[in-house]
Amino acid sequence: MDAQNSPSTSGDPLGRFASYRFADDAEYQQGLAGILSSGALQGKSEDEQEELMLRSEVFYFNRVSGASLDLDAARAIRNGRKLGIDFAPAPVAPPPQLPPKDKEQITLTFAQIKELIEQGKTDNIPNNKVIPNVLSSETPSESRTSVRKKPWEAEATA
Amino acid sequence: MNRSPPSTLQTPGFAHYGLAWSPFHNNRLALASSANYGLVGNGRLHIVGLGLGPGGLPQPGIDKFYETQDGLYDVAWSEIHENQLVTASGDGSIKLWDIMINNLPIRAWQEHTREVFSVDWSNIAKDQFVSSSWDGTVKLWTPERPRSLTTLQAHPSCVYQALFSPHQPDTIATCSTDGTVRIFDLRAPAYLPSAPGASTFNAPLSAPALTVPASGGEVLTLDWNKYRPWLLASAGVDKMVKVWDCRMVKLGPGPDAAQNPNPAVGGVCEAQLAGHEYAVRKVQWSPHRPDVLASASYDMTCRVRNAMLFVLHGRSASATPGERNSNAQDEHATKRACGLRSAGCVARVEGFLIPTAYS
Repeated sequence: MDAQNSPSTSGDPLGRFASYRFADDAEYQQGLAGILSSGALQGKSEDEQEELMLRSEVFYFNRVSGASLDLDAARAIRNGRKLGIDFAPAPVAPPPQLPPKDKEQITLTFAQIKELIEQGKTDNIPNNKVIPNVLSSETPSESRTSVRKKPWEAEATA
Repeated sequence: MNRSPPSTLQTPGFAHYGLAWSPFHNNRLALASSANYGLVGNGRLHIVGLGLGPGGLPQPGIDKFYETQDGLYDVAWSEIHENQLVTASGDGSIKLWDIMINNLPIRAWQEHTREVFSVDWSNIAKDQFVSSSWDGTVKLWTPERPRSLTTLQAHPSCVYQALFSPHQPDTIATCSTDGTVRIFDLRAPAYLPSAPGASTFNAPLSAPALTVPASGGEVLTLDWNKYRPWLLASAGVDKMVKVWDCRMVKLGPGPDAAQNPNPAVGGVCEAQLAGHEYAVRKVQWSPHRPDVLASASYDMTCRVRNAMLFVLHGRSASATPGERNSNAQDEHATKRACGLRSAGCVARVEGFLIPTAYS
């Protein structure tokens, strides 16, 4: 946890929770990916999904910070500052009207992607755009750095 | 023991399948990545620089990235040009990039008919690289040619990795779904005579200089030891990391290969490192020490171990998956690989073996 990602100067755990960027926390995201890949969000309504995400965040936050935040308090403060970009959790499907940039940042679960492929809805899969299959017309750079010996070559000649 | 947490780098939406340190700059590396678990969608090549973060720890940051149509599974830096590197893609394409040029590759080759899973640049013939593919072939390339220089029909199934020997010119090792590790001499491309009744494979296989029956399951990864020229490590779905002495290999042009219907089978299993709980995706020897071996697994762990502590001896060496195979060739190989290596073998690899058994 870098200083940037715990911006609150007060020791108030609620404030720190509200501003904590879960999207930037690798450990949290890894744990979340595990939960998501088990299909925990499948078939849930948007509200239910949000609730599950909030619970996972509170659980994680309490574990790493030693705080004992209560779910209701967390929900209250989160709702009060809703849509703050700092703590919008990436993996939850955002409303469809979001600009494409946000669409590309969604991480779908393995099961979700499998389902979309099976339904032929690959257009809905993020990071699946057409990249032009062309070469650069620019002249490649010239090499200016001399080749180095590998550690084992250096030893052999020493 | 309090250790500082490792520096991390996030590339949301793009999971990493391969990475390579620049051979020219200590603070630069390349990441090959794919979206959506590699099932569908784009790939990205990230060029990563290491700056200094808080507390003087290295802090990785993305200098630039390149987008590709299909996922990228591996990347290799040129050994001769500090700005160039080559990528292996799920659509069978191979692309050469110049990091001074944005957005687009400077060369592209489309010969493999299935996923290209590895690329490796030669440190000896510095204008050459190899690729390996799920189409069963290994191809040799040079950036200046529009077509591959050589194609080896290396295995009857997916070739997960092909690596140049760091010591021996024109020598590569491969590993495959078929459970073998093979060593090929690129100067002596010959085909194996088709076995009677072997109608399942249309293409005749290239003759390896040595075939090591390494596992009963898929072999996903291998690496040459950097200090002991014929020592290799392999690993895969059987969760074991194994160390092979392949000094019995016979290189050279092969009228032999055409005349001798029995290709060379061997490899002495010197060590088995258990511990991983799922398949092992990657093994790599230390570039600095002969005995240090790292492995990364689907069990989410990376283990860096002293391979000497896992050396087999006596009868405890006999339980390898190779023994499950029953045909005569494999039986022969298994005996050479395992059963016959009690007393004599320890003396044959001076300085490497420590007679310590780990079950």
